[in-house]
Amino acid sequence: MSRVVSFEGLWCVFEHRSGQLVNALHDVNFEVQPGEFVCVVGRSGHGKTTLLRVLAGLQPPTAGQIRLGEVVVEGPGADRAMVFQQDTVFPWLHVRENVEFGLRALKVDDEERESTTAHWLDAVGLTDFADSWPRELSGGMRKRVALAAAMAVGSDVILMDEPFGSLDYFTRRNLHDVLLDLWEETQKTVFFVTHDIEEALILADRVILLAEGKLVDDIPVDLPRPRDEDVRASSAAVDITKTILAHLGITEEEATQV
Amino acid sequence: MSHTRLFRILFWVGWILWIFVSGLAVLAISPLGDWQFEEGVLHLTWQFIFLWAVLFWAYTFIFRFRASVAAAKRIGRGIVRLPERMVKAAKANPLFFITWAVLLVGWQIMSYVAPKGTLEHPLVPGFDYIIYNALYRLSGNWDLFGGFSLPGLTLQFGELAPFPAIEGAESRTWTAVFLALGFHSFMTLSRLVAGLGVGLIAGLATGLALPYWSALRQISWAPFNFLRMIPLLAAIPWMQFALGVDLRATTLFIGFGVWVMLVVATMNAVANVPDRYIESSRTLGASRLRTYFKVIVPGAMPELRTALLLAGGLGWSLTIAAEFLGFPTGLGFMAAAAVQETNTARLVIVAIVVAFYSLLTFYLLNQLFNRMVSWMPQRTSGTTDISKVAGAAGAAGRAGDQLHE
Amino acid sequence: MTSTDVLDVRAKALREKRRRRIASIIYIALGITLFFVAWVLLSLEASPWHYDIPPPFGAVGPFQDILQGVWGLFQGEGAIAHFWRNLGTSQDMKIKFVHACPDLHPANVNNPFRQIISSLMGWKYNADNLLPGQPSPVPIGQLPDYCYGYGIHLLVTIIRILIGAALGTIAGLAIGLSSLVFPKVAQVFTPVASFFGTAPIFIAAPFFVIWFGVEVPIMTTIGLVTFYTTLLMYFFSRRAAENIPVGIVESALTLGGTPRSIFRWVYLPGTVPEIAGGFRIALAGAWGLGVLVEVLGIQVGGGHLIDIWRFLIGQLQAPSALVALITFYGVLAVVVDGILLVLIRYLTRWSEAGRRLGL
Repeated sequence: MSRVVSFEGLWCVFEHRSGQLVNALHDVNFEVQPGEFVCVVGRSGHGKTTLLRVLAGLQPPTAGQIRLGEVVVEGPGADRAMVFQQDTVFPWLHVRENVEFGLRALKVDDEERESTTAHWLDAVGLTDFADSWPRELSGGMRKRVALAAAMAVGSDVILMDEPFGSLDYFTRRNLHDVLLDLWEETQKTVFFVTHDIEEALILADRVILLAEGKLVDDIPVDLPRPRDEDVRASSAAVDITKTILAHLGITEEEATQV
Repeated sequence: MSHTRLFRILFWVGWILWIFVSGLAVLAISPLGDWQFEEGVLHLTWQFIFLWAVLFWAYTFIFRFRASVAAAKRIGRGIVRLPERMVKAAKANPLFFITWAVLLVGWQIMSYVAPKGTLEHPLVPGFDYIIYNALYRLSGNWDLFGGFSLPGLTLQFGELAPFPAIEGAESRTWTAVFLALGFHSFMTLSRLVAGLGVGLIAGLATGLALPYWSALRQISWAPFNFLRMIPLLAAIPWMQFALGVDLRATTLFIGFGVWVMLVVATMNAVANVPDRYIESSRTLGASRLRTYFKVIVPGAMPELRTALLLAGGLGWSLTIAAEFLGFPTGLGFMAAAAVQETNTARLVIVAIVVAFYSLLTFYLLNQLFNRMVSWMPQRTSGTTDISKVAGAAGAAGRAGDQLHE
Repeated sequence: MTSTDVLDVRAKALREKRRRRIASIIYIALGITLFFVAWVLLSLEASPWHYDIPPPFGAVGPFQDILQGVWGLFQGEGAIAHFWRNLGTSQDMKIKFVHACPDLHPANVNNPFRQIISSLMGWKYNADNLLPGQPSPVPIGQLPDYCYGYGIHLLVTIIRILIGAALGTIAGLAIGLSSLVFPKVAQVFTPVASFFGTAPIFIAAPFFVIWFGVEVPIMTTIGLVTFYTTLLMYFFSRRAAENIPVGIVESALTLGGTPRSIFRWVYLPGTVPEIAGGFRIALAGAWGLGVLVEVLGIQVGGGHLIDIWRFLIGQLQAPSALVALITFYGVLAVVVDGILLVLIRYLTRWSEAGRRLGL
């Protein structure tokens, strides 16, 4: 079921407001095995989100292609559900209808749809809020709804674009646990864009580093799970942090000063 | 859930049919009543209308008894509590009442002070003149002696109140005043409802359909923006020349105006739906069509509130102005007739009636809208009165002073 | 794995961009063309509105014969040709003695500028107020040609409406913005404004006609437009202030802002985008209102032109005239709106919302 995701010679050129052309992606090549948890890390404006949007099919690449197994990505589809940075839970649908949204689009029959929805609502702990309006939920709960909606369509690749960026620390940690549980349970491939190195260390199997649109490093994160404070303080973890910081142009001294 | 919705639709459709069926039912018991029905001509009487009204409301009590009783109770309570609430409102916002009192008293004083003019009626009529002279004389507009023809049925109204236009000034009655107002209001409202209905439906449909194809959206941009800018009020004389003076003409004209306005507004609203909702829907596997109907259309609704209210206002303006320039019936006609005899008092009455109806229209459109977007988050708008800011600044300043002490 | 030349990729992106821009221009041009095609189709002999809608262009030029055949029975002229022919002098108006010169003093009668001022100020110099020893007024038949053209009528109306809109804007903004400083103003004005604001404004027109139509006709147009613009601008300025985020005001407070400085540096500039957008809406409505109130019984002005043709309707030229005038008001509104748009874009270049409103 799960397929290898391969990025092949991916270019993306944008026009800046000033009329200047900017390389958002600069010849990106790599492969991701099924079930991997990949974090894409980089400074803002260096192509992380573009990479994810091209993978989602929301943005055509200027050159190159992305393949899922043998299929070339052309346009968005339910095999690559995405959780966005902003609030994308539809305010005009109840929580349950939001989770059902993709299933209805897939024309799944009623019984299966209801059972799937119930399962995912339960998995993110929102069963009691199934009939609420999104406006009645907190920001963290709305993110859970978005997560459940993405999981429910049954895609083998989940894309997450700094999904927890706007949340407070405790809610974020909480959602990390939820996400990791779901990932371990379903063994889906996850692409997770973030600028938070700690978040990458908690979540990732592998960190892809982007700088000025180029893939500058591909770091395997071989730390034992769960990645609690002790694991993240181990020398292996600190080495990874240092590598990332060096690539981002921040030396250790600078980092400690901040 | 779908059962209740079906029942509700059946209920409303049934009630609309019942308007006619109950009328026929009253006709069927004509031997018992004081009205005459011969050869397709019905001489209406108050008894007939009363029976019809009773039957009309009986429908709701039969099919939705509990809700009807609750509604009746609510209305009753509302009426009982009205004086109490008025007093409370006056205490809460005395300036509202003071302003209106000053305006009304000022008008009355103006009526004594202002030049009388050389005309038959005063230029600034006092309320005594408005109520006892102009309003009473409105019974002259009760002139339906030709009857009202429906397919297969002609209604005659002579039994309801005498026609002063035929029987002379002595036969003026307050009943005729209200019948005259009712009749002309009915004509105006029917023109408005027909035009507004056609315009709203066509406008929303076109405005939602065009942006689905980006080419169509770009092609229609220039023509619609030009049509929108044409001052339609100035086009009314041409409209009467081209379309004539009947319900079809007003429906086409009002419908056209509302249509053009709504198409532009709806297309803007669609364009302003945040991209993130559309992208989210697409990555969840929804097709373009599905995204359009399930995401873009509901997402565009909140922005349509203003457009909807403006459409109501435009409809009223066009109806009144069109009637003013050549229709033989309607509130606009009453205003035109008042201008003919330079009767400001009558104008005041028509203006109050029109203002009342348009307030009602805005209220109903707002209700309709709120029902459409019940999911919308409550608007969190800030305090805007600089007084509150000033108060806060003062408080902050005082707090600072105390600290320094 | 393909490695692509950087220049190649960029050239592709540029080509795509240019293609999209050209497509959009073509689409808009196509829209304008389709508009005229629809107009022509409606004016053809087979159309039910053949006698009511003149073709946009008359049968002139090298294709005269062909076009004459296409327009069919239509005896009038194209809307644009009609407008152009009557702009300076109108023979029809001469026949009906409809002129736009209120000041018949021999010294002023040849001065178009003076005539416009006179018609705006309500100055009259005619047989009625002639004093002994003064030169006799110019007989109607000997008035200069421009007095009989559409031009002077339209110009007078445009100036009247602009004056009304300017007065109303000043009044509306004065009340609206002062109500931010003195909330009592809002408490007094809001109920009154919302009462008059919900009623269709046209119902106020007859009052202005009766009160001013005979004595000071210009007050009819200016008064009604002023009244309408005041109400609208009051609402827009209130709403604009409501849409200023509380956070900005509070931040200004913590920076030591006083009510006066906050009003000057936060409310005043912050409300410009919405107020400017509101002014566009108000002006767009003012054209129709100003013209229609003149139809009701003012003897000079663009609305009066419509009134003249309304009663000449038996003639075949009436649709040409009415459609030509309506189109003129439409084009006028679009042009003025375009000028405002450029101005607003400049005034609110800092604001995203302003740019959108300006669109």
